[in-house]
Amino acid sequence: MAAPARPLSPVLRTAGVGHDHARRRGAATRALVDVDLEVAEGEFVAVVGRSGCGKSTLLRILAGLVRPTRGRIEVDGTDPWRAGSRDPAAFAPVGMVFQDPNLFPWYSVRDNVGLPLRLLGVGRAERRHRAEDLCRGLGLAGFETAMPRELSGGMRQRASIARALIRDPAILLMDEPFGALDALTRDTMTADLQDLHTRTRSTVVFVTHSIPEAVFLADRVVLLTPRPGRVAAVVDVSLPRPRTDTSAPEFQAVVRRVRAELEAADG
Amino acid sequence: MTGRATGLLGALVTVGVLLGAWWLAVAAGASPFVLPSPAAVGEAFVALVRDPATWREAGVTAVEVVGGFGLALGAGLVVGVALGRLRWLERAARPALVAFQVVPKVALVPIFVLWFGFGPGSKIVLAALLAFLPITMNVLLGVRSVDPGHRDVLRELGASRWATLRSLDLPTAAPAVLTGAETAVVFAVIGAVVGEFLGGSAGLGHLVVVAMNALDTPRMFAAILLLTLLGVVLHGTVAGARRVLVPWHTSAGP
Repeated sequence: MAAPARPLSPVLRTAGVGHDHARRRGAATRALVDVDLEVAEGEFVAVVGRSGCGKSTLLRILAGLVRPTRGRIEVDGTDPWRAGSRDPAAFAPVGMVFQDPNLFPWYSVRDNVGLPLRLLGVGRAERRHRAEDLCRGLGLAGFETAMPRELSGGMRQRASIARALIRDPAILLMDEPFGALDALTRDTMTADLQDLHTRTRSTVVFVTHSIPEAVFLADRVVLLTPRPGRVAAVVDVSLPRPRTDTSAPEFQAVVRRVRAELEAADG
Repeated sequence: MTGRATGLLGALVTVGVLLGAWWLAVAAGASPFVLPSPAAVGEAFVALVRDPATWREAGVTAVEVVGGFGLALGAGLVVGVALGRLRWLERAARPALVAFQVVPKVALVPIFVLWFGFGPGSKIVLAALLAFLPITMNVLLGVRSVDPGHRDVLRELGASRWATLRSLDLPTAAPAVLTGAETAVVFAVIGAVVGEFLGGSAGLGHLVVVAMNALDTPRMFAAILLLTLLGVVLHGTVAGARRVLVPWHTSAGP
């Protein structure tokens, strides 16, 4: 995909977004308060915070899985909830990768990857062809017809990333996608994700609790403080790409700055 | 020795012990009217199997069982999915389901004979009735056990209700449905045979009653043996379907 000639415009916007988790009894829990966020086209934004800071809720709101209790969101300039219910067409440019791969155990890898196309009515032959292509590009060559239970954790997550990418989403949401992986696999996957983003220039919102991971990947790091979750600070990361050396002093300096901001916000 | 061979040997030993105990009981002086010898039952069984009339009766029973089971499977899938997906409907139907569970369904045979006649109709209905609940309850539980993460995936993709049913709810429920079907097919055999006992002029159940009235105990035992074999074949078919329908599930393991 070539870089767009027009100036960067926000493809995702939240305005005063807040969310309360309903509880069975007692007052609702305030999970998110007053989140104003703009994500520009092609930008990689990482959302960092401790467990329970509402970062997953924020991502689920952006994916249309949760309707915000307050405020509004815009995807590509339209409010997907304007009709009072979820407008699937408005969320069509959005692809989501979950913390768990969430592969369907009854489908082979290529059928899992091709599932979004099947929902769009694409025929089986084309579906399989495109899914196999994508699998090969993501390091799953030779496993196209394997069942999910035959894959390692890292490969399952690769397949779930392929499933999110097969519709060529302009916006990719990732909810701690590497959280359950071992450190070595995690490093490889993070580097691969950076390559992918450099290649496709898609917009990415990436939730993580790892500050180095956020600094490695993101153009901007958004810090959330917990209970209720609100934006504490936004740190620009202007390190040149491709980033490879996480031990470089410049890299470590940004990591320290982000950590200091987060600790200051926690009080 | 492989596990399979050990299992086969164990099964043979079990059958041998049971036959030995039976033979001992006969040798100890049990009346042949009460307990015929294994040899007498074997003879009667061979005679029964050689008689083409037996196979007509077996055919009647098989049609009743398969028909009743098929009806129960269809109705159980529809009702189970509906109750599993719609909480309000399940709450509304709960008392009826409990009543349905506790009513001694065999006691309904006279009513079914009245409504559906002495032919296979009343037996199919009883077989279906007995098989219906295990299927429905398992479908209901199966539909309820859908992984929320899987549901999120389809919701995020904007999948329709129908697509969600087809790619998520039914595959999730399938292993439980098959478990229900295994129980249900055995219940269907019971339903058909009891129906034949109480109001019939055909089928293997009727054959048992005729043998009893003629005080032909070996023939009675042989007919029961044939019924058991019918049940084994049907149960084996449903159990075998697991390996074909849900090969991805751990329950279909080797």
